[in-house]
Formats: sequence, structure tokens, C-alpha cells
Amino acid sequence: MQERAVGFVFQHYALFKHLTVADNIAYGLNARKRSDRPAKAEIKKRVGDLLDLIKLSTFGDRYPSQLSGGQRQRIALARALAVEPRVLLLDEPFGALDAQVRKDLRRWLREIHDRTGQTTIFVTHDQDEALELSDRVAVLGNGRLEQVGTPDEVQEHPASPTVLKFLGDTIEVEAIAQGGHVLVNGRETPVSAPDGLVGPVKLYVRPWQLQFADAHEAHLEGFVRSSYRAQGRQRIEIDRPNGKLLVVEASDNARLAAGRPVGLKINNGYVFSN
Amino acid sequence: MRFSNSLGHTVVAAAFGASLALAATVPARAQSELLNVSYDPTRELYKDINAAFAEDWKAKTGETITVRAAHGGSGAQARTVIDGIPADVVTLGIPSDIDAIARISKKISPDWRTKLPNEGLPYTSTVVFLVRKGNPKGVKDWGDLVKPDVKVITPNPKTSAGGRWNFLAAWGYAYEQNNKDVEKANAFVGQLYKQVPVLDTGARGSTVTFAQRGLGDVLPTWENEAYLVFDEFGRDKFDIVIPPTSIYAEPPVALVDANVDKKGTRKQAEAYLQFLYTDQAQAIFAKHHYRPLKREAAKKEDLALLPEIKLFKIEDLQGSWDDIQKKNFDNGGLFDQLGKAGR
Amino acid sequence: MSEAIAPADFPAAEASLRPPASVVTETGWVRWTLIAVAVAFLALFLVLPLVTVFAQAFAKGIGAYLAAFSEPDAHAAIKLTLITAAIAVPFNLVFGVTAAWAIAKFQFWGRDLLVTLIDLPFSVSPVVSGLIYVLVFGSQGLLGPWLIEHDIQIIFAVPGIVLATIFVTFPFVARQLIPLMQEQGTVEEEAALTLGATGWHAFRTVTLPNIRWGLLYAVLLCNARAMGEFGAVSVVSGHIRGLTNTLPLHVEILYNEYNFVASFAVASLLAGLALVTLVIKSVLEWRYADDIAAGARRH
Repeated sequence: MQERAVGFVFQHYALFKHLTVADNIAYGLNARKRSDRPAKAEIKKRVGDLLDLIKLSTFGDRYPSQLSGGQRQRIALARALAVEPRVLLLDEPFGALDAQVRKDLRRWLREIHDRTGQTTIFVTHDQDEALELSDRVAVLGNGRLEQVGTPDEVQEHPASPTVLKFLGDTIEVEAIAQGGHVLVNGRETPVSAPDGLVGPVKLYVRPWQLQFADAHEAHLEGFVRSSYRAQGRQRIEIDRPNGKLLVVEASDNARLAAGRPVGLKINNGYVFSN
Repeated sequence: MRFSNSLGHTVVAAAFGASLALAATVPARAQSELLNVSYDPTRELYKDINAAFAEDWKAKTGETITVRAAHGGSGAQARTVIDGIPADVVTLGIPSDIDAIARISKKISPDWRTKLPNEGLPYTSTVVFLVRKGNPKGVKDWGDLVKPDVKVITPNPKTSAGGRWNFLAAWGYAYEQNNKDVEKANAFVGQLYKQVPVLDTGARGSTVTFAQRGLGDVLPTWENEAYLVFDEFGRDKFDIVIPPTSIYAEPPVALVDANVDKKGTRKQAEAYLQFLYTDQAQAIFAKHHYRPLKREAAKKEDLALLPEIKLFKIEDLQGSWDDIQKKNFDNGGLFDQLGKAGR
Repeated sequence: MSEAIAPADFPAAEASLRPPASVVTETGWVRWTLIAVAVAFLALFLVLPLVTVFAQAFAKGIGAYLAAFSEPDAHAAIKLTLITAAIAVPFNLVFGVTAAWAIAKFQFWGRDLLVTLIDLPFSVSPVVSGLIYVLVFGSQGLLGPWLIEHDIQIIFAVPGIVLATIFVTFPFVARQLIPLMQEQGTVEEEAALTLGATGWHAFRTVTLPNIRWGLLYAVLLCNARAMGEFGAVSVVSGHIRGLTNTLPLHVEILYNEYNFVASFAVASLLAGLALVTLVIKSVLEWRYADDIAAGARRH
């Protein structure tokens, strides 16, 4: 591991609790063989520079137990950077932090990365994070590499249902490909079937690709289970006849009573063979 | 806390090496050192004897010699010699313990009795009674020990020579009293042990139980031990009752041939044992209330405390020491049987 | 509101808020009784014996007390006790840290067996422990003939005493550290390795500092037991005056010579050791509870 020069940042920081922040950051450098070790003054300078980089310049003498989760993770990053690894590997580094801190750190990490140009591999199961942070995204499912591409690519042209499902909420619909179109419950949808695909297929629809509609236009039907507000939008949970739950977002003033029957029409979607 | 493990390793290794080296050098050091493994009551005695011998040896040969002693229940001490304690001489409380060492470990020659005068007995002793001041329970003779309200303190015969002497003395008394009836003698001893609340491992332990912890009404004990209690605890608390008849108690001494040959200390060890028969040593025995072989070497005032009473030898009543040990104290012997009957 | 609402306006509510008087007094009575029982128990079994030791030791004045320590046999006993502890404690320290580290941080065949073996001395009577050594190293024992041939004396000599002491104090360090290290996990060590430290460096700079208070605590207990051990040492000692008697054995010898003042005087040394150990132990527990015992973490 030493030779491969991979810098690790762990989900639970793994800072050395008995060392000061400065000693933590300097650990990798101090651990080197005497012949490879830089001078004390040099190490001190490196640590100082990194503390400036992560905007914790005055924290050098503190102990990890005195810091917040977000601060600890920044120190962990500085510690990993101190040994100038060829690749930086972050293993769900923000998993232990609350939502707001996570957002802030995401932004901050992006800045650091742009500043240092450090090759970084970021592991996460949070798709927002993946899409926001990365230059390239690799999606893994069941231990297999499903797709590698830019965030736009994987969202617009997902290579498999796994990728699709990872990158956002999906509603799975049984459909039939016929004559170049995809039909749901007998009704045609605007989604075109890829060449040659005939017969039963799986249609995956994003919530925003659905629209409330009357019975004569609707592809899907159900009953409202509940409706609640989240981040300025109205989330509506709908029970479908096949037992599955469907969640759509609507504008804030769309309020639907529980038990009310609704119809939804499909405006777009992704087709995959069964 | 800075911790240097390689340093720690070195220290430990050094310490271990040192201790093993220490072990290996013990034989080498023993050339000017003797170990006397002795029985329980002789602590004060051998302090004096050993000092006297060292002085004597220095005067005779110019060599400085240290005689170390280890004390404990006679049987237990025999066991340690068997298990390898580097004893040069043994001075135990009963002949069968020395026989055991000879038989099991072969470190002592089986005819050790013939090597020294009086069958290896530079002194003998007997069993007397220590009672509370004023003798409130009126204990005058062995028969009084089985009176219903009398509690007797005596050590465990399995581990203590003193305990065995008490056992054999009681038995011998009852045997003689009842016209050599073995059944009656056994019954007497059985009854006696029913009245014993505490069985200590050694004679010294029983003394402490009786004298310091205040348990029991009568302590049958070595004669020398009774007088020691007088000296240590005060004459105002106890009385010594010397019964009209008691047992001829034999605490013999022997050379541990195998050890002295290995350690190269035969000359010193033999001289030590010879020393025990000199007038000087005999006087010291009498001073500590042991009955010296050469009564004439002792001081008059010491002899006054060792009256000539009727003493019986247990070999005359039961046979050889092998028989005595087997019949009474080995597994399944009389002591075990009495214990079972009593429960 | 124009008027304050007096309590009298809500008599029903007030009555239900105040707890019934009988419950309060009953609880108080039970509580004080239990405390009294606990204190009495402590006083009887802890304080009284300790006070007795010191009282008896000084019964004949300071002169007699100090005289007990001027005896060469007493010097030898003190020296032997110190030597024994000086060997046994570091040995068990090294072994304990190593074993705890292996058990807590790795999975290997025989791991559970090792844990059981480490606990063995706790479940074996100390006298039996000593006897085991006699049966192995004695003349009649397993290694007897070999030892005799090579002129090595283990039992009835200092090495035997040290070995017996090591055996009975074996588990202290390991048992204290295993749960602690298990709880601390391997994350910090892994981090150290990713930063380029060698395994040894990580052990030295990460593992050891994390367990330092638990280690000190364990060493303290180990030392107290090593110095105070009686049963196992008594069996292997041979009681050779001035040579193979540790302090506890010496106390017994003095007692058996009716030298009660000296006996208690020497015992007071051991009692003093016990008190010092107790004080340091309490201080460590108070300040470093989290670092000593696993499972007390508050997150």
C-alpha cells in the first residue's frame, strides 16, 4: 500500500485521537524512513499550507475530539494529501455527517480538487453527490461495472436499469413494444421502442415524466395514499393496483385528498428489454 | 506515554537470562552453603545450631559456611525433598518420613539409620500436654483427653510428624492400659479425634491455634514446643502437664547422599551432622528443651525441665516403621478409617 | 389576564401533582438501610482487617515496627518480592499486549482457544497452579530428569517462584486490553498504514498510545497480584529462609514463630501496597474511564 501511494479518507475519519491536528496531518511524513523524511521545518510548513488550504489555519494545536464532524473530515483530507499520493480515495467520506454539512463539504471538496488538481476517486451511494462532484461517474451494481461516463451521459443515456435506478427515483412499468412504440395498459405512449424490439419490455419513468390526466388519457391509475410537502414541492404517494407505491412531485398548490382516485399519463421514459 | 517495545523486549530477555543463570549457579554457590530441611518446631533451635556450626567450621577450616534452613510439616518437607529441593541434610520429625524419601526418590540410602549414632537421633523428645492456666479441665493423663467436655488441638497426622506422635502416643497409652487390646486402643484414638475441632498442617500451626487463637482445652505437643509457648506467650496463661507415661518420640537426621554428591558438599554436610553429636550442640538441644542423647553435656537447669518419665517405644508395640506407617497413616490406614467412622 | 390565578383555584390538580407522602418515606427508609448494610459490610471485611494490621504492627511502638525490617530475612523477602514483580510484570505486559493485539485485530485459527487459555489461570486455584509447576519441574516430574542432568534448579528456587507468579498474573493485562482493543477497532491502524507507516511504526505510534491508560491500569493490577501472591508461590518456594521467601511467605513464617508484631509489620507493607494500588486505580477510573474499559463510550 505504501508503494502504491494511495491516499485514503475514511467515512469515520479515523483521525488519531491522541495526536493534535497538526501531528495528524504530519503523520504520514513523520512515518517515513529517516532517509526519505523531509526536515522538521519543511514538514511544519507543509502542515501549515494544508491547514490554510482547508481553512482551519488556527486549529493546529487542537485535538480531534474538540472538533465537529465536518472539521474532522477536512483534517482527514489534509492528512491524506500531506503525503502527496498519486490517487486520493474517499470512501463515503460524508456519510457520517448531517445533510447541510454534507452539502457544504461537497462544494468545498470540489474547490480543493480544482485547486490542487489531485486525482480523486470518490465512493458514494448518494447519487446527488455523485452527479454534483464528478467529472466522470462509474456506476457499480452487484459488483459489476455497469457504466462509466460523464454525469450528463449516465443520466441521459443510462446503459442499464441499474444505472437508471441508482441515479434517481424510477417508476417501473410493465409495457409492450409494438410497431416502434411502447404501449402501457393498451395505450400508446410517446416513448419509442428501439429498432426491432417487440414484445414485453420494461419501461422506466422518472416522476417528473408523469402528468396528472383524466381517465381517457391516463396510462396509469391509482389511489392517493398521502400527500406531504418537501422542499417547496408537494409529494404525493399513490397506491397502484399492482400493489406498488408510486411517488410523484407536484407543485405546491396541488393538494389531493387521501383515497382519491387519480390517473397519470406518461410523457417520456426509458425502455429496456426484459 | 512513550513506549519503546524493543527496549522492553531486551529488558525482559535480559531478566529471563539472568534468572536462568541464577538457577544454574545455585549448585556452584552451594559449596559454601548448606540447606537443612527440617520439621516445624525447630526454627529457633536451628538458628542457634547453625550459627554455632558456622563458627566452629570457620575455626576448624577457615571456610565461611552458611547453613540455610527451611521449616514446615515433616511430611510436607519430605515431599519437597522428593520433588527436588536441594537439601544437603534432612532433620525431620519421624523416621518414616526419611524412609519415604529413601524409598521414593532414592536420594537417601536405605540404611541411613546405621550411618549415625543412636539410629540418627542426636536428640529425642516426647509428648506432653499444654493446658490453660490452672488446668481447669483437670487433664492429668492421656485418659483425660477423651472426657466429654475436653477439646483437643492436635495437627493432622498425614502432614505433621508431631501429629503422628500424638496419634501413636495416644494409641500406645490405650494399648497398654487395656492389656494390649488393639480394638480398644483404636476406639480410644477414634474418640480422641472426634474431640479435635481444628487439624492444622504442622505442629506450629496447632500451637498458634491453641495459644494465640485461644481454641481448645489441651494441646498435646512436642515437649520443646510446650516450653517455647511458655517463653513466648507467658507463663501466666498456661500450664505444662507432663503425663506419667508418654511416647519415645524420634526426630532423626540424615544425609541426603544424592544431593551432596551432586553439589560437592559431602564433607561439609557430614561435618554438620557430626557436629550435632558434640557436647556443644547437645547443650544447645537441652537449652531448647529437646532431650539430648548425652544428658551429661547439658546444663543442670535445662535438664530439670526434662524429667525422666516412663517412655514407650512404638516399634515395640506395633513393629517396624514400615508397618507403623502403613497400618496407621497410609491411605486406608487407621486414621482414614477412624475419620470415616466418625462422619 | 387581570387577576393572578391562585393555587386554591385548582385544588384537584394540585393534589394529583404532589406524590403521596407514604411513598416518599418508604423509599427513603429502604435506601438508607441498603446503604447502611453496604457500609457495614465494607467496614467489616475491608476497613477492620486493614486497621487491625496497622494496629497490631505498631502495638509495641515504632521501634519494634522498624526492627522487623532490619532482619536479613526480611531484606531477602523484600528483595525477592521486588525481583519477582520486576520480571513477572514486564513479561506479562509484553505478552498481554501482543496477545490482545493479535486477538482484537486479527482472525486466525485457534483464536478462541488462545482466549480460553489466557483465562485459565483465573479458573485454577493458585495452589493447583503451583502444584502444576512441581509436577512438571520437580525431580519426580516430567522434566525432572532432564533438569537434574543439566544441573538446573527451577522449583524451590527463584525461577520457580517467578514462573508461578507469571502464571497466576498471566491474564491481567490481556483480559483488560482485549475488549478495549476490540472496541477501538483497526480503523486508526489502517489509516496509519495507508499513510505509509510500517506495521511496527503503526503499532508504536497508534496502537500503544490508544491503550496507554488501560495498560497502566492493567499493569497496576498485575503488579498488586504479583507482589501479593501466596498460594502458588508457597507451593513452589520450599520456604528456604533468606532465599526463597517472598513477603507474603515471610509474613507467614514470622507468624509461625510467634513474632506477631513483626509479622503484622511486614504485612503492613503489603497492606500499604494494596492501599496505594487502590488509590491509583480509583484515580485512573475516575479520569480515564473511557480509556480503560470498553463499552463506556458516550456518542
